[in-house]
Amino acid sequence: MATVHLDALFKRYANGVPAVNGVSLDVADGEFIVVVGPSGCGKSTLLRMIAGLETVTEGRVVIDGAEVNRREPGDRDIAMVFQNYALYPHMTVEGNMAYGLRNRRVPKAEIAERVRRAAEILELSELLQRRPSQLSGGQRQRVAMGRAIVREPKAFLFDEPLSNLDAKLRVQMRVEIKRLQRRLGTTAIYVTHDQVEAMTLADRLVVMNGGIAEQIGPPLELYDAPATTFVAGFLGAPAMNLLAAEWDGRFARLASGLALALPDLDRAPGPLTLGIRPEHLHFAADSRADATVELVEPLGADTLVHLRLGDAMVVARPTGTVGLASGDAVALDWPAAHIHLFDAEGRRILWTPSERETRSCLPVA
Amino acid sequence: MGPQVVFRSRVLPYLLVAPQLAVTLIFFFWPAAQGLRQSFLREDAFGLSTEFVGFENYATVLADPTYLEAFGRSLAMGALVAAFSMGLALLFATMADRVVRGAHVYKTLLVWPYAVAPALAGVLWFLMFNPTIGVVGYTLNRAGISWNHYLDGDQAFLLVVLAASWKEISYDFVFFLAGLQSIPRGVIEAAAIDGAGPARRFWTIVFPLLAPTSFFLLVVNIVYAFFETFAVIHATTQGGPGGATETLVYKVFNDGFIGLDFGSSAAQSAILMVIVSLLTVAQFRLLDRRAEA
Ligand SMILES: Nc1ncnc2c1ncn2[C@@H]1O[C@H](COP(=O)(O)OP(=O)(O)O)[C@@H](O)[C@H]1O
Ligand SMILES: [Mg+2]
Repeated sequence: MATVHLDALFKRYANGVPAVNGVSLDVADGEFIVVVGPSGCGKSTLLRMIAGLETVTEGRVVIDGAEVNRREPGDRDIAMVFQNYALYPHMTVEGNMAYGLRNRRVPKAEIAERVRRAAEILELSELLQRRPSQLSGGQRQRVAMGRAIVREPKAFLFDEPLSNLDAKLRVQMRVEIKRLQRRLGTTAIYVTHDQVEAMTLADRLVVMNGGIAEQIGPPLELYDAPATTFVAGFLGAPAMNLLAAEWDGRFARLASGLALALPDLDRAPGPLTLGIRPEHLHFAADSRADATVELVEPLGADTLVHLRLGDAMVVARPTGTVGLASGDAVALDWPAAHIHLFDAEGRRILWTPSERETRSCLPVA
Repeated sequence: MGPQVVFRSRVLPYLLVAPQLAVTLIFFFWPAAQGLRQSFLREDAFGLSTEFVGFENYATVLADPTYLEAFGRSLAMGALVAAFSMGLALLFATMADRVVRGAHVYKTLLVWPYAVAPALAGVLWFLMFNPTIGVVGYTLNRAGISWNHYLDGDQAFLLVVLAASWKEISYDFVFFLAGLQSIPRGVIEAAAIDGAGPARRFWTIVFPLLAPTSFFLLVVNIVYAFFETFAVIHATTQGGPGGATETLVYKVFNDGFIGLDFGSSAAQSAILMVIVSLLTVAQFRLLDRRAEA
């Protein structure tokens, strides 16, 4: 149990690739941090620097108050779960779990006790004498978890630990990991590219893009107020609708010709990006024809309606089923309280419309 | 199993395997059969008459103290060549596996000796150790260590072992390097996080995972030391001095082609064949068992 503090971390690989470009983060004791981002954004590199598997080009890694930049991985008192589990193929399940304790010269009786307890928690008691090759994917995953928890480390590091499991098992293990971390109270840093995993597991999320942390905060805060268009587009499935618009002082004019009144926006005219989540884009009981239905995907609980809006495509997500078919013309309702605005650089524009209620910004021809 | 080809013609498949079959039959089975037949015969000194003697040649060979000595010598050579070449190859491979810069040059240089013909390798080492004109031999003698492998049997034996090992290092190196590179990096990293230092990681993770490779190389090296060293010995000591480097294979040659005792030579060949078969069977069995696990 410990705090982890990252101070302006940089990593440039030997071939010149700048993988991490200055990430700072304060992880509280017992906190569950999820680092999420697309493939190649530097998540693994960041985690491996904390583990000591990659050297730090610049910046500091501080675990429990002590800088560990130059410490060997084995001396940092952290445990890591790898995507492919990295179990020792020539050792039994028991051997895999005991290895780290034996290296640290923990007394035999205590090793046996800790392994027994971990095996019980993870339902591995029957499998202790098996080798990794005789286990299913889910069981191997458990062994990898077991190897981490018997050590009782200061922090758990996870690098996409569920990516190799099928969808059902992934959900099950996700719940289990969260429960285990709560029960043990161990600080955890978890890397994933799966935004559902990220949203459900995290106390706080770090959204990474191109080696930098775009935004750090509780999942719902990031979902409700994304700081950049990247975060807006990355969190949520289907993604937030992002539309290029021209602000003329009174209206935001979309490329399709649609104009939205943005009350109380105090801003010089110029380009901006307008965002709205599919679940917030409503159909208006109106005879206007703002958009054309291209495709209807009923999912049961709700429906995805893909709409053509001039050159752009947007998705609406009404609950239940809707009586729409492709080709239908519909009018749209844009509740001001749910419209996100971003400037030309993709940064969030602070905007508090006085009409916070679901009031349509009437499209103007 | 990949997709299987089904032949319509009944003749074509046989035609396709015929060349391979012919080569095996003519160059392996036929001489082997000849040898086996010969091992049960005795020829008179002028090669005029032969007589069937059953297992008498075998009995003579196995009771011959020089044969048993050659047997021990071969075993020692096998053990030494395997130990030398595998030990050094593993060391080099472990280091090459870590090299980032210039790894290609390093690996290429280490593989080169394998391209040198065994006889040349032998001559090369003998020249280097030549007591009067060899760099090493001369230096040794100057330093007060008396070196003359033309007279000292143990030194000659050691030199044959060195020459044979030198070539074999390259071969073992390639396999060890491939073996090392097939160990997932994550496993090594997990061990590092589990608090194992480099030495402990090597002995508890890397070495056990290389066991199948090591066993394969052990068999190959022993077979090599038994048979392929013929060229080295023939080009250098010719079994001398005083029989100090006469291995089983060299004795087959000596007794057969120099001593013209074909019956005994053939019986010795047959025994060698049995030894190789046993080694190969043992190897396949073990590899099979590994594959199942
Ligand atoms: N060992 C390495 N050497 C050079 N470049 C690397 C190495 N590992 C990763 N990279 C590069 O660094 C960037 C970040 O990689 P990584 O941290 O693995 O991303 P992620 O885990 O988010 O998918 C990528 O562009 C990748 O190609
Ligand atoms: Mg990764």
